[in-house]
Amino acid sequence: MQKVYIHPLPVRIWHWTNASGFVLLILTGLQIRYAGTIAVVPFKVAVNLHNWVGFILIGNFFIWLLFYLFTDKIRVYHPELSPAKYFRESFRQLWYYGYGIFRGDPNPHHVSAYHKFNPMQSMSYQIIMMLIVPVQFYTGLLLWDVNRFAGAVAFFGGVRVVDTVHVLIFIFFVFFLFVHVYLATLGHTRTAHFKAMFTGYEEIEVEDEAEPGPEK
Amino acid sequence: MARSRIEGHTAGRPSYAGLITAAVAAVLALLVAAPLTASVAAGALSGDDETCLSCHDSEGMEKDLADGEILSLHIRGGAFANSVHGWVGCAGCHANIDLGSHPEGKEIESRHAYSAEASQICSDCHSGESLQDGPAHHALVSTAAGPACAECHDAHAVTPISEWKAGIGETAYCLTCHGQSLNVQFKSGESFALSIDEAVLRSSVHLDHECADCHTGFSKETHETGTFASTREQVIGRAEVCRECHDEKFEQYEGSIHATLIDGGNLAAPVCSDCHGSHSVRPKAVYETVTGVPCKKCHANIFEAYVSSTHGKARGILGHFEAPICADCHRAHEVDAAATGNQLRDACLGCHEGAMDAHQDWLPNAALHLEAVSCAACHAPLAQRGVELRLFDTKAQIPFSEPGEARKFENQIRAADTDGDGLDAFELWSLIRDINREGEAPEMTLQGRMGVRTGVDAHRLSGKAGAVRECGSCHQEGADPFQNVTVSIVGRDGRTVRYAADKDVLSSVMSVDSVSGFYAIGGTRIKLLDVLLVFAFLGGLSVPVGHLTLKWLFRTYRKRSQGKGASPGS
Repeated sequence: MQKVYIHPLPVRIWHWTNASGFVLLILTGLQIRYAGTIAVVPFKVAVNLHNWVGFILIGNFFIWLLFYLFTDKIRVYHPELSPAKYFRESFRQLWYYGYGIFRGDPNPHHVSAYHKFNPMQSMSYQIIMMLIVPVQFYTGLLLWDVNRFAGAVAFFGGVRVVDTVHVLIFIFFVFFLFVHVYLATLGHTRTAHFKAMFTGYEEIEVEDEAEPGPEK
Repeated sequence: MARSRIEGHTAGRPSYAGLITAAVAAVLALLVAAPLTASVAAGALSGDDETCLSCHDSEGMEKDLADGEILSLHIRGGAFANSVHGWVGCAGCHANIDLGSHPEGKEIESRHAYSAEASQICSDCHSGESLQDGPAHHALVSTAAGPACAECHDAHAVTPISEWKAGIGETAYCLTCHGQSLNVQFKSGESFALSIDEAVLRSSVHLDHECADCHTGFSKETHETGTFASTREQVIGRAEVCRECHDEKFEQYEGSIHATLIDGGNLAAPVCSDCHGSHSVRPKAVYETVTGVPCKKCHANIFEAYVSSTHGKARGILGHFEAPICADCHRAHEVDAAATGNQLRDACLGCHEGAMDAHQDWLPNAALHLEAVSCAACHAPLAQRGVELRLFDTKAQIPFSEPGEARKFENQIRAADTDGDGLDAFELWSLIRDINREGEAPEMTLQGRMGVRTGVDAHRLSGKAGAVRECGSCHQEGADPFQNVTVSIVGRDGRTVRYAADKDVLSSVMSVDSVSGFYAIGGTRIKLLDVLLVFAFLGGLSVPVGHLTLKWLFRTYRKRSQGKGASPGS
């Protein structure tokens, strides 16, 4: 096994802030939406906490964005421009998770500093980080002060439309959280990816062919 | 002072009886023998008249009447002698007095009855034709219930009309008749009192005005005859004159819900005189007291609620005149329909200047709450609350309030409620779709506002300590306000017209578009999203559970595969 520096510090700070923030947002969101049924903290505390955490995560998002915009690490998000290759590799990855993993086949994706996402991850995170998360933050911002953003709320069809979009994305993230955490346990050990996200180093099997590009 | 009274005999003057009988008999005999002629100069009474006056020119000579009134029998000899009728002499009019029995114990019902009977003789000289010049006067004397001649012109001190008119003020001239018991009957059959109590008139703020200042078209010289068909028509028509002096206030009134109702044919709505009185207009301060405020005449139940509210108690019991009364919130003249617009909230904030800051200290999204929730919804804690969905023009960003379009929308709403049991989510969606389908109509949605269900409830305001502060009173499923839902538009008469809606319109996915302008977190959440959340939770959970289960089931197969793949010695 070889330790490769995959997760730079800003990414790790962003990730764990984001993770804890999302858990808090989901929990407070559940209480806000199901007030009367769930009453862990007073409703007002839940609302204020939800708002504050939301703003922190909006700021946190820009840490992630600026880091990738101003470093060459953005290559990890570069899309695969060949559709044939993308679908072939995605299918291989899907086949692995749906069949190969049960046989004990090796993961077809080999992690490196500039290639840390498998094709499905790459596509998913581009959609999540550049579309779903911004929409969730934006709708949250509008709902935080509907009066202040009355024009935008009206533009998008009213407060009920904005709220419905916010809740739909919330529902998506509830699902995502289970899948994300579970997939994170599918490293060479159950905790390997978790440790890597704390230390920055992934333990990977030594490959004959080194990945091009600068290491840490 | 002892008063002499005629009760069939002359009380206090017993010696008069024989004297009067003899004197009157002599006078009458002379009158029959030598009729009076116009040659008798004014100011000089005949000896016969002097004889009459020897008794009747006595202060305090009175007669008790059947209705309890007192009829004065005192004739001022000088005034009679100088009157236009001085030459007629007593017997000229009182020819029916039987000297043999005078004073007789005649039963007289009332002063009016006596005057009416005594005035019948006037028509011997003053024929109906001579009265035609003054149509109102003619109408008056032709009415059985009208005042008798003597009640206006006096019985004995009758002066020439030209002299009399010139000698009195205009108002005094009017009161000559209108100070009497005077009624008119409209075509509707209603009887309307034309009598004016001078004391009331003189105690009003209009005491310096002459009648004709308001009653244009009336003067000493002219008197219109009524053209109104009913009492109400008369009151409304006459109120127009207030504009002459109170132009600004009148224009404000013309924009009010009261004026709109009148214009729409609701004659029960108030005009100026309904609140201020017609002849008893009081100073402004009188209308600002709990006892003097005129609004309670029509809005009695609401006023009762106000009186028991924190504002009513502060003003009525504690005497705090800074506490608001009707006009302070609803405005005195430009009164809007209460449930439209934001003027009531603005009125609250107008006095409670720190209210917005105070709410922001503890209430998240305070400005939104103050916009979407009426003040009374929280500050009248005993009120029954509900949600009113108002038609909202999304392009102009204002509530739709075109009374001219009201009929069309009313028809559309009734048509949309196909089963007649209130609008459900689908019917509401269809309604908004149909309204927006019409090209020229502005783009409409429904904007919700939480309020109290009745005007009475809206006035049951408590002190700050009693206000609702629990978020859970609204922000949870099944909360009380969301059990009562109505769809409202501004009706043809400017008032809000409400149509019942199913409470599920607030939690249906069909309402995402149609009720896009109202959402209360927790309280009106869309149920379909709850179902999706459950599926997301179960689906998310099933991924690791299912995958781990499959891995466990494949464990033997995996070991076998790995064993085959492992190179010797590895």
